[in-house]
Amino acid sequence: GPLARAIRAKLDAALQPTHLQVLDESSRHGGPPGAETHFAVVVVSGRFAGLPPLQRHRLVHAALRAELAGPLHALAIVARTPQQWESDPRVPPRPPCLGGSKHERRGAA
Amino acid sequence: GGGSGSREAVERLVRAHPVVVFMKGSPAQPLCGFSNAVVQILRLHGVEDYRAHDVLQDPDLRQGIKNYSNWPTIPQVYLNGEFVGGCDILLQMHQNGDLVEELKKLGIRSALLDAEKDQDKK
Repeated sequence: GPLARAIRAKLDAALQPTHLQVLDESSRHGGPPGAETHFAVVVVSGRFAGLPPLQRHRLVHAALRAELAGPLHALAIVARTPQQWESDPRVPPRPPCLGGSKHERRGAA
Repeated sequence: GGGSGSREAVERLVRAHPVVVFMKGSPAQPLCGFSNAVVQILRLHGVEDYRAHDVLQDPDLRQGIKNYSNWPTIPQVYLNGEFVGGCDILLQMHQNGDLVEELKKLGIRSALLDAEKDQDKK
């Protein structure tokens, strides 16, 4: 969808990833398939070298500031250097949805 | 300034206890999978005494905590008044042993250390 494309474009531009997965997980959170409200991104980039996880995630947030201020309700992040990804290309399983979005007035993070 | 979302109000909350969590729902009833993951990880480490704030109950706090940490999403975990990250980072810390170490610095002995000891005895 359009948001997935925007996320991909922004992360490509900001982080020049060697590997990038952009996954619309909205249907796992009570939304219809393709709702584009909840995303998971797997970003492999040399830009993360030497940075602790918090700073890596902040780089991802900075690239997606406009989206996070708008339709992007939730964002799960895996941020690794190319060396880390090579030695461990596994992604942790996502937590199951507990239907939280239904308890909110509007879709806002 | 006043209001539950002001910098001063948030500062008071994050400093009120060694372990403070801003989440959706409560530890007894989380309303979001990511918030639940934080609760479950803390429970695994035997951390049951912590401050949890339900941002769904307070829109000013919900926005204020994001401004305070410059972090766009909930849940948010604070250890010793310092922002540590959300669910993904806490999970990483749990998996790589960092969480056991950070809890130790707060004078909290992770239950996982005792679990390991029990396994060694077998």
